[in-house]
Amino acid sequence: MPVILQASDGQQFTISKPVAERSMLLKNMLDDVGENEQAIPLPNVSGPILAAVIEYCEHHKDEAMPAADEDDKVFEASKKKPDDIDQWDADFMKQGKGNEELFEIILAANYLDIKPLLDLGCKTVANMIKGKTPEQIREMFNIENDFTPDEEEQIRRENEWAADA
Amino acid sequence: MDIEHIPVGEAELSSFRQTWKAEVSAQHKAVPTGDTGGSKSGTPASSATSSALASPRKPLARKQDVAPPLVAGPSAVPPAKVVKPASTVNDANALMAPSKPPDTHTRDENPAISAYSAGTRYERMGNLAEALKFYREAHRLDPDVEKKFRELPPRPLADDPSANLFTYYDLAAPTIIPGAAHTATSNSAGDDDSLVAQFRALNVGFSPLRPARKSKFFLLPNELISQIIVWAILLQGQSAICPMSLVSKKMFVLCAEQCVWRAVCERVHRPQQADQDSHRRQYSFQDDSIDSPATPPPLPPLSLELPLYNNSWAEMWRLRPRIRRDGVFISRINYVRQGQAIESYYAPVHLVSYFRYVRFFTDDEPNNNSITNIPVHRVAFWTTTLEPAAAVKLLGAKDFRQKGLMLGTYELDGRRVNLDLTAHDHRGGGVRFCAELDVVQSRKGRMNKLVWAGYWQQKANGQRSDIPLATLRPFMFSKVNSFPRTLL
Repeated sequence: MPVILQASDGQQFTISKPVAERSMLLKNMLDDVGENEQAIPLPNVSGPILAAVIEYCEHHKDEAMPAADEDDKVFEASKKKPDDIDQWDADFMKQGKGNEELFEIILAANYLDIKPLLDLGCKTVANMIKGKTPEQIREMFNIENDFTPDEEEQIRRENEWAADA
Repeated sequence: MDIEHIPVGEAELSSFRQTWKAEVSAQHKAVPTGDTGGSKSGTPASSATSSALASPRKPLARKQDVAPPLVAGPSAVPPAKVVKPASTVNDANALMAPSKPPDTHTRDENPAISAYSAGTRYERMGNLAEALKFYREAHRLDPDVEKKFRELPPRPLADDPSANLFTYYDLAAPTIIPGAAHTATSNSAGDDDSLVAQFRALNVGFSPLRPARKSKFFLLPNELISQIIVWAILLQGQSAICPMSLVSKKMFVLCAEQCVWRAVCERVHRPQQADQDSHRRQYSFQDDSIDSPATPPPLPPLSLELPLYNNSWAEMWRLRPRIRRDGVFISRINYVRQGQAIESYYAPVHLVSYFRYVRFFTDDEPNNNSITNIPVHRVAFWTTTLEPAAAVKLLGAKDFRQKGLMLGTYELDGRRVNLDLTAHDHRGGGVRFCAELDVVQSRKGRMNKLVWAGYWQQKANGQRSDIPLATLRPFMFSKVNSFPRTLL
């Protein structure tokens, strides 16, 4: 039974149920509502972003779900090296996705409750920060520096413990 | 301010300094006497903090005593000594929002608010279901209850007998409270000199570097930015927070959040539990996971240890012993050996150095230990004469095998790490060595030194022959940039 999703711009996507169930939001919705011909509106997700999210779910549709009530499977999942990003996932995050799309994917994953995609997005951003100076991070996220030089100095001192010796 | 433009003599200046000092000390003296019921314990700052916790009304009254002189003559007084930048901000707030006495009675009389605070108590105890029930009830009674609750003066924590067992997120921390109660709380926050508390009270947001450029980053809710910070710390080590917290005030506040360091602590110290928790997507005590028969009895939750660390997860991260894997521990042993005199004119003496290296590995091998579900942590223990520079290169190589190398597993228990080692080439027919080392603080860092607590050979027949510790030297940590920095 296919599921129809409608993005904020009206674009519609027809996907299979296992793909849709990668999203806990959709899974719970389908469990509650049952089979339905009608399109599910997703007003928080734009068409191109939804397409990317669906691409991710398609790829991962056969993997064990991290269900809360099955500790064994959770453990299986946790045995996978947690800091590794799967090659496919890494490519998926890279291809044609600028910072803005990346943030939109994170927001969509959060809204649709797709934990692995949310983690993947957060890890990708975390890796972008790697080795950057505060100035470069500000540039990347478009954040203005609202510290006084004194405050910066104090924070530097407070964080001395973290600067690994 | 005008002083700068008027030429003043040295005498005039010094007399001004005198009067100013007198004025300042008069203020300081006035504070303890004005405080009728206060403790005589010490400086106004400390008594202010303690009484701010005990009762919100007293510091307020004192505030009014203190504030006028500070405000009356600040233009001529250099602020650096007496008034911290923080308290000037607070004073400004106090002036802008005329103080009204906090109405302590409404809290007890308003059923919506008492239901709401019952909800917060349950939430602190981790009982979300019960907490939600009370929150719903409170919202039904009064849709604005949340706002009203936040406007209440901070309450003493004493109403909860087991208060110290739980994490207080925003409840105990100075919250953004407009009006009178605000000056009381942020005054104490300013006194403790913490930038985090100051900025948190300001409730800062991000301001765009270039307004024209639209950034979706601003749409991310705080909890998602926190998750990004957590991942950055986990993937790149704790030093990742140094650049991140310098980005902006809001970023700095987020980097110091309890939830960030809680997630880091739980991931590192209780890897499996943290995984399960995050899948459950809620933080609670382990009651519900104990009943599943397959899993071993879980370790006690980290939150029980929190009172040991001042109820601060960040402090737990700093102080709780852990094993650094982003480098090697090096122990250098020097000894002097009498050389053989050949011509008897001089007796040569040899200074001999050798090294012990310990490297702890991230858990990158598939876990075969499915019966106990305890992850295997690998360790390499190498005794050699090679100097560190050359040795580190070899230790970094995959599957290196050298004479004097022992491989094994390690386990951290409190601050003691137990090594279980076997010679890599199995020479000597499976002789096992066991080492016990304690993680201690060195001059350079918290987790940077290992001292010997025990070292023995475990023979196949169960016999144990100890190696005297007197000949062993402690290990000092040395960071290696090419080693992975992940904490996972």
